[in-house]
Amino acid sequence: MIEFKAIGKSYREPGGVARSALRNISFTLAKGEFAFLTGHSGAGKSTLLRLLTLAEEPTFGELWVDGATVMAGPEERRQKRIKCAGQRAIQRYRRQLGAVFQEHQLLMDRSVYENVVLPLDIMGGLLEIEKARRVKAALEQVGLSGKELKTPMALSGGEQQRVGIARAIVHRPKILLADEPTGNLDPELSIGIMELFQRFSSAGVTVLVATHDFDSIADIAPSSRTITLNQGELIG
Amino acid sequence: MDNQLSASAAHATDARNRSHRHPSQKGRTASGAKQHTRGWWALRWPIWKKDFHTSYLRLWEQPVLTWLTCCVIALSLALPFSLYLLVSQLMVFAQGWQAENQMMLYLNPGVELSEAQGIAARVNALSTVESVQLITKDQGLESFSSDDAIGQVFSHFEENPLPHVLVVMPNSMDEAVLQPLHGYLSELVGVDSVQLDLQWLQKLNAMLGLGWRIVLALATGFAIAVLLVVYNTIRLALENRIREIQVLDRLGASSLFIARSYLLSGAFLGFIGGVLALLLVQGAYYWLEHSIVQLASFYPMAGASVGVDGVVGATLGMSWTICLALIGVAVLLGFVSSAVAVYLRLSSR
Repeated sequence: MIEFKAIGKSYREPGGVARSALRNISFTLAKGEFAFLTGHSGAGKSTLLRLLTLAEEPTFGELWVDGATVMAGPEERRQKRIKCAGQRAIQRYRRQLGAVFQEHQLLMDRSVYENVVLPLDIMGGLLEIEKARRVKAALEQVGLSGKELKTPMALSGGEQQRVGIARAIVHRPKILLADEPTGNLDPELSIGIMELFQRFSSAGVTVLVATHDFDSIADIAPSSRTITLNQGELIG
Repeated sequence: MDNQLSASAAHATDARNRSHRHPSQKGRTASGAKQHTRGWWALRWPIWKKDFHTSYLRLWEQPVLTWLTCCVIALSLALPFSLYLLVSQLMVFAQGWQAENQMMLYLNPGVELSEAQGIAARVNALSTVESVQLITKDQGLESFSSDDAIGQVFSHFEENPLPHVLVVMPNSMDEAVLQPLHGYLSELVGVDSVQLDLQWLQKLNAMLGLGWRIVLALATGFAIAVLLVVYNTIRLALENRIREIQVLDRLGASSLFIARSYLLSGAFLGFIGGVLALLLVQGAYYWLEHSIVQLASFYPMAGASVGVDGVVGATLGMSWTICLALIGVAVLLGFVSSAVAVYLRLSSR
């Protein structure tokens, strides 16, 4: 279970002025829940996902995962004497995450196979033959069978996006986070990817998909929970 | 395939737990342990192989920088290594000369043979003495009589004018041992004089001591230079790969996972630099070989082996152990400096 407790995030801009990206965000995501994170550009969706991947620390508030504090703002840490996750715990947490980043974050000098197998290499404990089987299955799911040996440079933007999605699901994560995963995809493929995420959710994986495409939500999963942000505040 | 992925996602945690389970936790058997070892290798060997390959390829992404680094390492190692070989070879020569440095004890002319034998026994009992040889006055005369000119001179004497002589071989050529021994022997009753060229030994020992210090200072200085050069190369490689490091970090890679290939790259640089240093020294030896052999022929000392077979390791004291030690030191320096570079970079994540 993921729990945001009054989380806020602000950045200091040149000139020393603080700009709030998130203000007092509180919500809970249960295990296996599928939710959309929506809002216009600049609403704070990517910031919220970055907090969830522990790429950034909150300015205030607490982030709880499975009943333990993973991150907290400096004030909370001092007042409540909260002990946050250390470097190794953060690495362990990230290995349980599957993250689809907006800018793909692929290694351009490595092949599609080498990119997708990375989480399995990092996780360890699997034989090469098993890794190959899982990579093949993941690429098949995103419609990239047979492109294992190509480099991401040789793929289109949409295909690169799908390599990122394959990399996020190949190690069967406990939590799946996706930042605009269908931004570069055609409607048919977008529906396929969302259905894939929903199947993961049915299997007990917590899924949070950030998107500003309200129409696709209505088409793909009208009954799914929607968390809406507006200028850094939670409005629904 | 859809069903397969859903089912496999549901069992993801179980599968992960199974793959990490240690077979020794309950009732480990010999065959179980063997299988576990095989499994351990099967899991890690492909990753190590991949790291090895990556680290090697990474170096040749910037071939000019890599070769320059290797050449600097080679030069930095070759100079102190050559000096080390030179000084150690001088030590071998010096030992040859020192071996001939016996103390000569000339006894008083009035000392009888039995007394001389007594003195020889006393001297031989000393812990700092290796052996004592008594040359009686008759033996001395006999050795001189073999020379025609000197033999004729001695034939004019009615009595043998030569004293008994003790040839003392100390068990150490250390000045700290020789000085007190010299003093003790000079004070013995029946001893007329003791001959030892201590001043020459003092000069030689001082020169060799200075030589070692120079080798040590140069080796330390150049080792630091190697560390800095490799550090800089690996730091640049890390800066060029900053995006890759960020991606691996976001995927939960441990510091060791990220660092492994860079550590191997540092070790590679050290290895290539070490081999080049050996080739440089051997090349320099080939160039100097004729002069060295010519010089060595004037000093035919026991134990001073100046070979001309031209094989690495057979000349100038370059044994295979020393060659391997040089490459080992180079690899270690490369590894350590890359470890420092990686640690500093990753700790600032």
